[in-house]
Amino acid sequence: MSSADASFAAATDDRELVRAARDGDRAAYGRLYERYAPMVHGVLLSRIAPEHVDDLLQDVFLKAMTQLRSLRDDDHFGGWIVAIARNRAADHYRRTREDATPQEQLEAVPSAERSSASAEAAVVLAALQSLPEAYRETLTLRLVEGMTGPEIAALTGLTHDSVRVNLHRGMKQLRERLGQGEPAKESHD
Amino acid sequence: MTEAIHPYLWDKSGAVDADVERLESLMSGLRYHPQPLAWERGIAQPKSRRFRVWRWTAVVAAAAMVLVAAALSIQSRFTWRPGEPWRVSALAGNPSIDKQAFSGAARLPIGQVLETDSQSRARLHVASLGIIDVEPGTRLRLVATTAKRHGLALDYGTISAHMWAPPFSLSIETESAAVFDLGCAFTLHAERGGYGTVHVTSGWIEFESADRRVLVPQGAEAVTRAGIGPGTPYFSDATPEFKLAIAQFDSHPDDAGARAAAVDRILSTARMRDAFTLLNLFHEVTPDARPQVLDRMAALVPIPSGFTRDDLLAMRQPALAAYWGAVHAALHLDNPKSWIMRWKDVLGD
Repeated sequence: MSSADASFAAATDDRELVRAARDGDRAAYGRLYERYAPMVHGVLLSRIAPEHVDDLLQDVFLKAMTQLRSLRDDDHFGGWIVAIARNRAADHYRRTREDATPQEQLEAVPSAERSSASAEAAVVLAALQSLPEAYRETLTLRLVEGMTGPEIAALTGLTHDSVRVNLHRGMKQLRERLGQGEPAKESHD
Repeated sequence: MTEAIHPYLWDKSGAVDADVERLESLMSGLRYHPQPLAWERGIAQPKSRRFRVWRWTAVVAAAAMVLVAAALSIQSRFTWRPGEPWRVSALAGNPSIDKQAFSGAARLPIGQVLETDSQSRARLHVASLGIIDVEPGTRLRLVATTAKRHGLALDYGTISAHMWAPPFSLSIETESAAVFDLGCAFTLHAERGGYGTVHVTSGWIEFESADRRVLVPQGAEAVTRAGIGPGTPYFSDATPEFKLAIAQFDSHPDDAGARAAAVDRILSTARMRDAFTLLNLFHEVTPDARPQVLDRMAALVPIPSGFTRDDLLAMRQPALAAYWGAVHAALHLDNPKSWIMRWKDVLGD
Protein backbone atom coordinates (compact mmCIF):
# COMPACT_ATOMS: atom_id res chain seq x y z
CA MET A 1 0.00 0.00 0.00
CA SER A 2 1.44 3.39 -0.94
CA SER A 3 1.66 6.19 1.60
CA ALA A 4 -1.12 7.95 -0.24
CA ASP A 5 -3.30 4.84 0.00
CA ALA A 6 -2.51 4.62 3.69
CA SER A 7 -3.55 8.19 4.27
CA PHE A 8 -6.79 7.54 2.44
CA ALA A 9 -7.44 4.45 4.50
CA ALA A 10 -6.73 6.33 7.71
CA ALA A 11 -8.80 9.35 6.84
CA THR A 12 -12.07 9.91 8.60
CA ASP A 13 -15.03 8.92 6.54
CA ASP A 14 -16.26 11.64 4.20
CA ARG A 15 -19.77 11.28 5.45
CA GLU A 16 -18.83 12.24 9.00
CA LEU A 17 -16.76 15.16 7.80
CA VAL A 18 -19.57 16.44 5.59
CA ARG A 19 -22.06 16.22 8.44
CA ALA A 20 -19.76 18.01 10.84
CA ALA A 21 -18.95 20.68 8.25
CA ARG A 22 -22.63 21.21 7.58
CA ASP A 23 -23.04 21.87 11.31
CA GLY A 24 -20.42 24.60 11.10
CA ASP A 25 -17.27 22.63 11.98
CA ARG A 26 -14.56 24.44 10.03
CA ALA A 27 -11.91 21.91 10.96
CA ALA A 28 -13.98 19.17 9.34
CA TYR A 29 -14.40 21.20 6.19
CA GLY A 30 -10.67 21.89 6.28
CA ARG A 31 -10.05 18.13 6.24
CA LEU A 32 -12.28 17.77 3.19
CA TYR A 33 -10.41 20.62 1.56
CA GLU A 34 -7.02 19.01 2.24
CA ARG A 35 -8.25 15.70 0.87
CA TYR A 36 -9.89 16.95 -2.30
CA ALA A 37 -7.92 20.09 -3.19
CA PRO A 38 -5.35 18.24 -5.34
CA MET A 39 -8.14 16.55 -7.32
CA VAL A 40 -10.05 19.81 -7.83
CA HIS A 41 -6.78 21.49 -8.81
CA GLY A 42 -6.25 18.84 -11.48
CA VAL A 43 -9.81 19.09 -12.76
CA LEU A 44 -9.48 22.86 -13.09
CA LEU A 45 -6.03 22.64 -14.66
CA SER A 46 -7.40 20.29 -17.31
CA ARG A 47 -9.69 23.10 -18.46
CA ILE A 48 -8.24 26.54 -17.77
CA ALA A 49 -4.95 28.43 -17.79
CA PRO A 50 -2.65 27.64 -14.83
CA GLU A 51 -2.53 31.24 -13.59
CA HIS A 52 -6.26 31.14 -12.82
CA VAL A 53 -6.38 27.75 -11.15
CA ASP A 54 -5.44 28.65 -7.56
CA ASP A 55 -8.00 31.42 -7.45
CA LEU A 56 -10.78 29.22 -8.80
CA LEU A 57 -9.77 26.42 -6.46
CA GLN A 58 -10.52 28.68 -3.50
CA ASP A 59 -13.71 29.79 -5.15
CA VAL A 60 -14.92 26.22 -5.65
CA PHE A 61 -14.40 25.23 -2.01
CA LEU A 62 -15.86 28.41 -0.57
CA LYS A 63 -18.87 28.11 -2.83
CA ALA A 64 -19.31 24.47 -1.88
CA MET A 65 -19.07 25.32 1.81
CA THR A 66 -22.08 27.61 1.55
CA GLN A 67 -24.06 25.00 -0.38
CA LEU A 68 -23.39 21.84 1.65
CA ARG A 69 -27.09 21.65 2.42
CA SER A 70 -27.78 20.83 -1.20
CA LEU A 71 -25.45 17.79 -1.22
CA ARG A 72 -27.94 14.97 -1.41
CA ASP A 73 -25.62 12.05 -0.69
CA ASP A 74 -22.99 12.68 1.97
CA ASP A 75 -20.90 9.78 0.66
CA HIS A 76 -20.44 11.49 -2.69
CA PHE A 77 -18.65 14.68 -1.73
CA GLY A 78 -15.92 13.92 -4.28
CA GLY A 79 -18.24 13.69 -7.27
CA TRP A 80 -20.17 16.71 -6.07
CA ILE A 81 -17.15 18.96 -5.65
CA VAL A 82 -15.87 17.87 -9.06
CA ALA A 83 -19.21 18.87 -10.60
CA ILE A 84 -18.89 22.29 -8.99
CA ALA A 85 -15.32 22.60 -10.25
CA ARG A 86 -16.36 21.71 -13.81
CA ASN A 87 -19.15 24.27 -13.67
CA ARG A 88 -16.82 26.92 -12.34
CA ALA A 89 -14.27 26.17 -15.05
CA ALA A 90 -16.92 26.29 -17.78
CA ASP A 91 -18.21 29.53 -16.33
CA HIS A 92 -14.71 30.98 -16.27
CA TYR A 93 -14.13 29.90 -19.86
CA ARG A 94 -17.41 31.40 -21.01
CA ARG A 95 -16.83 34.69 -19.26
CA THR A 96 -13.22 35.20 -20.12
CA ARG A 97 -13.24 33.53 -23.53
CA GLU A 98 -9.63 32.59 -22.96
CA ASP A 99 -7.75 33.99 -25.82
CA ALA A 100 -6.96 30.80 -27.68
CA THR A 101 -8.28 27.26 -27.74
CA PRO A 102 -5.94 24.58 -26.40
CA GLN A 103 -5.28 23.44 -29.96
CA GLU A 104 -4.43 27.00 -31.01
CA GLN A 105 -2.15 27.37 -27.99
CA LEU A 106 -0.47 24.14 -28.94
CA GLU A 107 0.05 25.26 -32.51
CA ALA A 108 1.19 28.73 -31.44
CA VAL A 109 4.36 27.51 -29.76
CA PRO A 110 7.07 27.34 -32.46
CA SER A 111 8.86 24.03 -32.65
CA ALA A 112 12.17 25.72 -31.88
CA GLU A 113 10.82 27.07 -28.60
CA ARG A 114 9.45 23.77 -27.45
CA SER A 115 12.83 22.79 -26.11
CA SER A 116 12.82 24.81 -22.88
CA ALA A 117 11.20 23.00 -19.98
CA SER A 118 8.55 25.63 -19.27
CA ALA A 119 7.61 25.98 -22.94
CA GLU A 120 7.52 22.23 -23.25
CA ALA A 121 5.26 21.96 -20.20
CA ALA A 122 2.95 24.56 -21.77
CA VAL A 123 2.81 22.50 -24.95
CA VAL A 124 2.00 19.33 -23.04
CA LEU A 125 -0.68 21.12 -21.01
CA ALA A 126 -2.27 22.52 -24.17
CA ALA A 127 -2.25 19.02 -25.66
CA LEU A 128 -3.82 17.64 -22.47
CA GLN A 129 -6.53 20.31 -22.53
CA SER A 130 -7.35 19.50 -26.14
CA LEU A 131 -8.19 15.87 -25.32
CA PRO A 132 -11.79 14.70 -24.90
CA GLU A 133 -13.17 15.61 -21.47
CA ALA A 134 -12.92 12.22 -19.75
CA TYR A 135 -9.35 11.63 -20.87
CA ARG A 136 -7.92 15.07 -20.12
CA GLU A 137 -9.20 15.09 -16.56
CA THR A 138 -7.99 11.63 -15.60
CA LEU A 139 -4.67 12.07 -17.36
CA THR A 140 -4.05 15.44 -15.70
CA LEU A 141 -4.63 13.88 -12.30
CA ARG A 142 -2.14 11.16 -13.19
CA LEU A 143 0.61 13.14 -14.92
CA VAL A 144 0.39 16.50 -13.17
CA GLU A 145 -1.03 15.74 -9.73
CA GLY A 146 0.92 12.49 -9.49
CA MET A 147 -2.03 10.32 -8.41
CA THR A 148 -2.21 6.64 -9.21
CA GLY A 149 -5.16 5.10 -11.04
CA PRO A 150 -6.65 3.63 -7.82
CA GLU A 151 -6.33 6.98 -6.06
CA ILE A 152 -8.09 8.72 -8.94
CA ALA A 153 -10.89 6.17 -8.81
CA ALA A 154 -11.27 6.57 -5.05
CA LEU A 155 -11.46 10.35 -5.21
CA THR A 156 -13.61 10.80 -8.29
CA GLY A 157 -15.96 7.89 -7.75
CA LEU A 158 -15.14 6.45 -11.19
CA THR A 159 -14.67 2.68 -11.49
CA HIS A 160 -11.18 1.26 -11.86
CA ASP A 161 -12.06 0.15 -15.37
CA SER A 162 -13.16 3.64 -16.38
CA VAL A 163 -9.98 5.19 -15.02
CA ARG A 164 -7.91 2.50 -16.72
CA VAL A 165 -9.59 3.18 -20.07
CA ASN A 166 -9.27 6.94 -19.69
CA LEU A 167 -5.58 6.70 -18.87
CA HIS A 168 -4.78 4.25 -21.62
CA ARG A 169 -6.70 5.96 -24.42
CA GLY A 170 -5.83 9.42 -23.17
CA MET A 171 -2.12 8.62 -23.13
CA LYS A 172 -2.39 7.23 -26.65
CA GLN A 173 -4.06 10.39 -27.92
CA LEU A 174 -1.64 12.60 -26.00
CA ARG A 175 1.30 10.90 -27.63
CA GLU A 176 -0.30 11.38 -31.04
CA ARG A 177 -0.89 15.06 -30.42
CA LEU A 178 2.63 15.55 -29.21
CA GLY A 179 3.86 13.80 -32.31
CA GLN A 180 5.45 10.96 -30.38
CA GLY A 181 3.32 8.13 -31.69
CA GLU A 182 2.99 4.90 -29.76
CA PRO A 183 5.95 3.38 -27.94
CA ALA A 184 7.43 0.42 -29.73
CA LYS A 185 6.46 -1.98 -27.02
CA GLU A 186 3.85 -1.84 -24.29
CA SER A 187 3.42 -4.26 -21.45
CA HIS A 188 -0.01 -5.32 -20.29
CA ASP A 189 -1.57 -6.09 -16.95
CA MET B 1 -13.40 -5.53 -21.42
CA THR B 2 -10.31 -4.28 -19.57
CA GLU B 3 -7.97 -2.01 -21.50
CA ALA B 4 -4.35 -3.07 -21.67
CA ILE B 5 -2.32 -0.50 -19.83
CA HIS B 6 1.28 -0.13 -18.80
CA PRO B 7 1.47 -0.90 -15.06
CA TYR B 8 3.54 2.21 -14.44
CA LEU B 9 0.87 4.40 -16.01
CA TRP B 10 -1.78 2.70 -13.90
CA ASP B 11 -0.25 2.66 -10.42
CA LYS B 12 3.47 3.43 -10.81
CA SER B 13 4.32 -0.23 -10.37
CA GLY B 14 6.53 -2.38 -12.55
CA ALA B 15 9.21 -1.09 -14.87
CA VAL B 16 9.25 2.66 -15.24
CA ASP B 17 7.74 3.90 -18.50
CA ALA B 18 10.36 6.45 -19.48
CA ASP B 19 7.91 8.42 -21.56
CA VAL B 20 5.39 8.76 -18.73
CA GLU B 21 8.12 9.51 -16.21
CA ARG B 22 9.45 12.31 -18.43
CA LEU B 23 5.98 13.85 -18.69
CA GLU B 24 5.48 13.58 -14.91
CA SER B 25 8.76 15.35 -14.33
CA LEU B 26 8.00 18.00 -16.93
CA MET B 27 4.55 18.74 -15.51
CA SER B 28 5.49 18.60 -11.82
CA GLY B 29 5.87 22.38 -11.69
CA LEU B 30 2.13 22.73 -12.29
CA ARG B 31 1.22 20.35 -9.47
CA TYR B 32 -0.97 21.47 -6.58
CA HIS B 33 0.98 23.11 -3.75
CA PRO B 34 -0.88 23.00 -0.43
CA GLN B 35 -2.29 26.35 0.57
CA PRO B 36 -4.72 27.22 3.33
CA LEU B 37 -8.36 27.82 2.51
CA ALA B 38 -9.00 31.58 2.41
CA TRP B 39 -11.96 31.60 4.79
CA GLU B 40 -12.00 35.37 4.85
CA ARG B 41 -13.13 35.47 1.22
CA GLY B 42 -16.29 33.82 2.52
CA ILE B 43 -19.78 34.24 1.29
CA ALA B 44 -19.93 37.95 0.77
CA GLN B 45 -17.54 38.09 -2.12
CA PRO B 46 -17.98 35.03 -4.35
CA LYS B 47 -19.13 37.10 -7.28
CA SER B 48 -16.33 39.65 -7.09
CA ARG B 49 -14.24 38.02 -9.79
CA ARG B 50 -17.15 37.44 -12.11
CA PHE B 51 -16.11 40.39 -14.17
CA ARG B 52 -12.85 41.35 -15.59
CA VAL B 53 -12.88 44.79 -14.08
CA TRP B 54 -9.86 45.76 -16.06
CA ARG B 55 -11.76 45.21 -19.28
CA TRP B 56 -14.48 47.58 -18.21
CA THR B 57 -11.85 50.04 -17.10
CA ALA B 58 -10.12 49.78 -20.45
CA VAL B 59 -13.38 50.39 -22.29
CA VAL B 60 -14.15 53.47 -20.21
CA ALA B 61 -10.61 54.78 -20.60
CA ALA B 62 -10.85 54.43 -24.35
CA ALA B 63 -14.15 56.27 -24.60
CA ALA B 64 -14.23 59.77 -25.97
CA MET B 65 -14.17 62.70 -23.56
CA VAL B 66 -17.73 63.54 -24.40
CA LEU B 67 -18.79 60.32 -22.67
CA VAL B 68 -16.96 61.07 -19.44
CA ALA B 69 -19.77 63.12 -17.95
CA ALA B 70 -22.28 60.42 -18.76
CA ALA B 71 -19.97 57.75 -17.37
CA LEU B 72 -19.58 59.69 -14.14
CA SER B 73 -23.31 60.09 -13.92
CA ILE B 74 -23.82 56.39 -14.39
CA GLN B 75 -21.07 55.68 -11.88
CA SER B 76 -22.84 57.70 -9.23
CA ARG B 77 -26.01 55.74 -9.93
CA PHE B 78 -24.24 52.43 -9.41
CA THR B 79 -22.44 53.36 -6.20
CA TRP B 80 -24.20 52.87 -2.93
CA ARG B 81 -23.21 53.54 0.66
CA PRO B 82 -22.64 50.12 2.22
CA GLY B 83 -25.26 49.14 4.75
CA GLU B 84 -27.65 51.97 3.92
CA PRO B 85 -31.28 50.81 4.34
CA TRP B 86 -33.37 50.53 1.19
CA ARG B 87 -36.36 52.74 0.54
CA VAL B 88 -39.67 50.93 0.47
CA SER B 89 -43.17 52.21 -0.15
CA ALA B 90 -46.58 50.66 0.34
CA LEU B 91 -48.49 50.23 -2.95
CA ALA B 92 -51.59 48.72 -1.37
CA GLY B 93 -52.76 47.76 2.13
CA ASN B 94 -50.32 47.75 5.04
CA PRO B 95 -47.15 45.78 4.48
CA SER B 96 -44.88 45.30 7.50
CA ILE B 97 -41.19 45.51 8.35
CA ASP B 98 -40.23 43.23 11.22
CA LYS B 99 -43.92 42.88 12.09
CA GLN B 100 -44.45 46.66 12.23
CA ALA B 101 -47.12 47.64 9.69
CA PHE B 102 -46.54 50.80 7.67
CA SER B 103 -48.21 52.88 5.01
CA GLY B 104 -46.53 55.39 2.74
CA ALA B 105 -42.73 55.26 2.82
CA ALA B 106 -40.38 53.30 5.09
CA ARG B 107 -36.83 51.95 5.22
CA LEU B 108 -35.66 48.32 5.12
CA PRO B 109 -32.36 47.80 6.99
CA ILE B 110 -30.12 44.77 6.59
CA GLY B 111 -31.47 41.73 8.40
CA GLN B 112 -35.04 42.93 8.67
CA VAL B 113 -38.05 41.21 7.14
CA LEU B 114 -40.48 42.81 4.72
CA GLU B 115 -43.82 41.03 4.62
CA THR B 116 -47.01 41.53 2.64
CA ASP B 117 -50.29 39.88 3.56
CA SER B 118 -52.98 38.84 1.12
CA GLN B 119 -54.17 42.45 0.73
CA SER B 120 -50.92 44.39 0.58
CA ARG B 121 -48.21 45.17 -1.95
CA ALA B 122 -44.95 47.11 -1.65
CA ARG B 123 -42.21 48.57 -3.84
CA LEU B 124 -38.55 48.22 -2.88
CA HIS B 125 -35.89 50.50 -4.33
CA VAL B 126 -32.81 48.37 -4.96
CA ALA B 127 -30.17 50.86 -3.85
CA SER B 128 -30.30 53.22 -6.84
CA LEU B 129 -30.30 50.47 -9.45
CA GLY B 130 -33.92 49.50 -9.92
CA ILE B 131 -37.13 48.49 -8.25
CA ILE B 132 -38.73 45.32 -6.96
CA ASP B 133 -42.48 45.07 -6.64
CA VAL B 134 -43.47 42.78 -3.79
CA GLU B 135 -46.75 41.00 -4.45
CA PRO B 136 -49.31 39.91 -1.80
CA GLY B 137 -48.38 36.98 0.41
CA THR B 138 -44.61 37.49 0.27
CA ARG B 139 -41.83 37.48 2.87
CA LEU B 140 -38.27 38.57 2.13
CA ARG B 141 -35.17 39.82 3.94
CA LEU B 142 -32.43 42.24 2.98
CA VAL B 143 -29.23 40.25 3.57
CA ALA B 144 -26.55 42.49 2.06
CA THR B 145 -26.13 45.91 0.52
CA THR B 146 -22.64 47.11 -0.32
CA ALA B 147 -21.21 49.64 -2.75
CA LYS B 148 -21.86 47.39 -5.75
CA ARG B 149 -23.50 44.17 -4.56
CA HIS B 150 -26.91 43.68 -3.04
CA GLY B 151 -28.64 40.57 -1.77
CA LEU B 152 -32.13 39.53 -0.77
CA ALA B 153 -33.50 36.28 0.59
CA LEU B 154 -36.99 35.43 -0.62
CA ASP B 155 -38.59 33.07 1.91
CA TYR B 156 -41.79 32.74 -0.11
CA GLY B 157 -44.09 34.73 -2.35
CA THR B 158 -43.71 36.61 -5.61
CA ILE B 159 -41.57 39.57 -6.62
CA SER B 160 -41.02 41.39 -9.92
CA ALA B 161 -37.65 43.06 -10.42
CA HIS B 162 -36.66 45.74 -12.92
CA MET B 163 -32.92 46.28 -12.83
CA TRP B 164 -30.65 48.45 -14.93
CA ALA B 165 -27.23 47.69 -13.56
CA PRO B 166 -24.09 45.72 -14.32
CA PRO B 167 -24.48 41.94 -14.13
CA PHE B 168 -24.52 40.37 -10.68
CA SER B 169 -25.39 43.60 -8.89
CA LEU B 170 -28.38 41.87 -7.31
CA SER B 171 -28.75 38.32 -6.01
CA ILE B 172 -31.90 36.78 -4.58
CA GLU B 173 -31.58 33.56 -2.63
CA THR B 174 -34.48 31.15 -2.36
CA GLU B 175 -34.55 27.85 -0.53
CA SER B 176 -33.36 25.80 -3.50
CA ALA B 177 -31.62 28.25 -5.86
CA ALA B 178 -30.36 31.78 -6.25
CA VAL B 179 -31.14 34.28 -9.01
CA PHE B 180 -28.42 36.65 -10.19
CA ASP B 181 -29.58 39.50 -12.37
CA LEU B 182 -27.62 40.26 -15.51
CA GLY B 183 -29.26 43.67 -15.99
CA CYS B 184 -32.82 42.65 -16.63
CA ALA B 185 -36.43 42.33 -15.60
CA PHE B 186 -37.90 39.16 -14.17
CA THR B 187 -40.57 37.70 -11.91
CA LEU B 188 -39.52 35.26 -9.21
CA HIS B 189 -41.91 33.07 -7.29
CA ALA B 190 -40.84 30.88 -4.35
CA GLU B 191 -42.78 28.51 -2.15
CA ARG B 192 -42.03 27.04 1.25
CA GLY B 193 -40.31 23.72 0.66
CA GLY B 194 -38.05 24.84 -2.15
CA TYR B 195 -40.20 24.91 -5.29
CA GLY B 196 -39.87 28.09 -7.31
CA THR B 197 -40.10 29.63 -10.77
CA VAL B 198 -38.44 32.50 -12.55
CA HIS B 199 -39.78 34.19 -15.69
CA VAL B 200 -37.55 36.66 -17.51
CA THR B 201 -39.16 39.57 -19.34
CA SER B 202 -36.00 41.44 -20.38
CA GLY B 203 -32.33 40.52 -20.62
CA TRP B 204 -30.96 37.46 -18.86
CA ILE B 205 -30.72 36.02 -15.39
CA GLU B 206 -28.46 33.34 -14.00
CA PHE B 207 -30.22 30.72 -11.93
CA GLU B 208 -27.93 28.59 -9.82
CA SER B 209 -27.46 26.20 -6.94
CA ALA B 210 -24.16 24.76 -5.77
CA ASP B 211 -23.75 22.31 -8.60
CA ARG B 212 -26.13 23.56 -11.27
CA ARG B 213 -26.21 26.79 -13.21
CA VAL B 214 -28.47 27.84 -16.06
CA LEU B 215 -28.84 31.08 -17.97
CA VAL B 216 -32.41 32.14 -18.69
CA PRO B 217 -33.05 34.67 -21.47
CA GLN B 218 -35.88 37.06 -22.14
CA GLY B 219 -39.14 35.23 -22.83
CA ALA B 220 -38.01 32.08 -21.04
CA GLU B 221 -38.55 30.59 -17.63
CA ALA B 222 -37.15 27.90 -15.39
CA VAL B 223 -38.26 25.95 -12.36
CA THR B 224 -36.26 25.12 -9.25
CA ARG B 225 -37.03 22.18 -6.99
CA ALA B 226 -35.98 21.20 -3.47
CA GLY B 227 -32.87 19.03 -3.50
CA ILE B 228 -32.46 19.40 -7.25
CA GLY B 229 -31.98 23.08 -7.96
CA PRO B 230 -32.63 24.93 -11.22
CA GLY B 231 -34.14 22.93 -14.04
CA THR B 232 -33.81 23.19 -17.79
CA PRO B 233 -34.87 26.64 -19.09
CA TYR B 234 -37.55 26.83 -21.77
CA PHE B 235 -39.42 29.55 -23.61
CA SER B 236 -42.78 30.45 -22.13
CA ASP B 237 -44.51 30.00 -25.49
CA ALA B 238 -43.42 26.37 -25.80
CA THR B 239 -46.20 23.80 -26.19
CA PRO B 240 -47.76 22.31 -23.03
CA GLU B 241 -46.47 18.88 -24.09
CA PHE B 242 -42.92 20.20 -24.31
CA LYS B 243 -43.14 21.93 -20.94
CA LEU B 244 -44.56 18.80 -19.31
CA ALA B 245 -41.75 16.67 -20.73
CA ILE B 246 -39.17 19.15 -19.41
CA ALA B 247 -40.77 18.97 -15.96
CA GLN B 248 -40.67 15.17 -16.06
CA PHE B 249 -37.00 15.22 -17.07
CA ASP B 250 -36.01 17.70 -14.37
CA SER B 251 -38.04 16.02 -11.63
CA HIS B 252 -36.34 12.64 -11.97
CA PRO B 253 -32.58 13.19 -11.88
CA ASP B 254 -31.98 9.65 -10.61
CA ASP B 255 -34.52 7.74 -12.71
CA ALA B 256 -32.86 6.84 -16.00
CA GLY B 257 -36.02 5.29 -17.44
CA ALA B 258 -38.20 8.30 -16.72
CA ARG B 259 -35.53 10.61 -18.08
CA ALA B 260 -35.17 8.62 -21.31
CA ALA B 261 -38.93 8.70 -21.89
CA ALA B 262 -38.99 12.43 -21.16
CA VAL B 263 -36.14 13.06 -23.61
CA ASP B 264 -38.08 11.24 -26.33
CA ARG B 265 -41.08 13.50 -25.74
CA ILE B 266 -38.97 16.62 -25.54
CA LEU B 267 -37.30 15.90 -28.86
CA SER B 268 -40.53 14.97 -30.62
CA THR B 269 -42.28 18.18 -29.55
CA ALA B 270 -39.38 20.63 -29.91
CA ARG B 271 -39.78 23.61 -32.22
CA MET B 272 -37.00 25.65 -33.80
CA ARG B 273 -37.10 28.09 -30.88
CA ASP B 274 -36.66 25.20 -28.45
CA ALA B 275 -33.12 24.61 -29.70
CA PHE B 276 -32.03 26.74 -26.76
CA THR B 277 -33.62 24.26 -24.38
CA LEU B 278 -32.10 21.31 -26.26
CA LEU B 279 -28.66 22.88 -25.97
CA ASN B 280 -29.09 22.97 -22.19
CA LEU B 281 -30.47 19.45 -22.25
CA PHE B 282 -27.44 18.27 -24.21
CA HIS B 283 -25.28 19.00 -21.18
CA GLU B 284 -27.63 17.24 -18.79
CA VAL B 285 -28.33 13.92 -20.48
CA THR B 286 -26.09 10.89 -20.10
CA PRO B 287 -23.39 10.47 -22.76
CA ASP B 288 -25.32 7.69 -24.49
CA ALA B 289 -28.31 10.01 -24.99
CA ARG B 290 -26.25 12.89 -26.36
CA PRO B 291 -26.27 11.72 -30.04
CA GLN B 292 -30.07 11.61 -30.00
CA VAL B 293 -30.31 15.14 -28.59
CA LEU B 294 -27.58 16.48 -30.84
CA ASP B 295 -29.16 15.11 -34.01
CA ARG B 296 -32.49 16.76 -33.25
CA MET B 297 -30.76 19.97 -32.24
CA ALA B 298 -28.64 20.01 -35.39
CA ALA B 299 -31.79 19.58 -37.48
CA LEU B 300 -33.06 22.81 -35.94
CA VAL B 301 -29.77 24.75 -35.88
CA PRO B 302 -26.94 23.37 -38.04
CA ILE B 303 -23.56 22.67 -36.48
CA PRO B 304 -21.23 25.61 -37.29
CA SER B 305 -18.73 25.05 -40.08
CA GLY B 306 -15.31 24.08 -38.84
CA PHE B 307 -16.74 21.76 -36.22
CA THR B 308 -18.09 18.25 -36.40
CA ARG B 309 -20.70 16.15 -34.69
CA ASP B 310 -17.86 14.24 -33.02
CA ASP B 311 -16.39 17.47 -31.63
CA LEU B 312 -19.68 18.19 -29.90
CA LEU B 313 -20.21 14.63 -28.69
CA ALA B 314 -16.71 14.76 -27.18
CA MET B 315 -17.83 17.97 -25.40
CA ARG B 316 -14.89 19.92 -26.80
CA GLN B 317 -15.08 23.43 -25.41
CA PRO B 318 -14.42 25.40 -28.65
CA ALA B 319 -17.11 23.41 -30.48
CA LEU B 320 -19.59 23.91 -27.64
CA ALA B 321 -18.85 27.64 -27.55
CA ALA B 322 -19.31 27.91 -31.33
CA TYR B 323 -22.58 26.01 -31.22
CA TRP B 324 -23.79 28.16 -28.31
CA GLY B 325 -23.09 31.18 -30.53
CA ALA B 326 -24.91 29.61 -33.48
CA VAL B 327 -28.02 28.93 -31.42
CA HIS B 328 -27.97 32.48 -30.06
CA ALA B 329 -27.69 33.89 -33.56
CA ALA B 330 -30.41 31.65 -34.99
CA LEU B 331 -32.83 32.56 -32.20
CA HIS B 332 -31.80 36.25 -32.19
CA LEU B 333 -30.93 36.16 -28.51
CA ASP B 334 -29.08 39.21 -27.30
CA ASN B 335 -25.75 39.12 -25.56
CA PRO B 336 -26.09 38.58 -21.80
CA LYS B 337 -23.46 41.28 -21.32
CA SER B 338 -25.35 43.97 -23.23
CA TRP B 339 -27.40 45.06 -20.20
CA ILE B 340 -26.75 48.74 -20.83
CA MET B 341 -28.88 48.62 -24.00
CA ARG B 342 -31.95 47.45 -22.11
CA TRP B 343 -32.74 50.66 -20.30
CA LYS B 344 -36.02 51.05 -22.20
CA ASP B 345 -37.26 47.65 -21.03
CA VAL B 346 -36.56 48.23 -17.38
CA LEU B 347 -36.83 51.98 -16.94
CA GLY B 348 -39.35 52.74 -19.64
CA ASP B 349 -42.33 52.27 -17.40
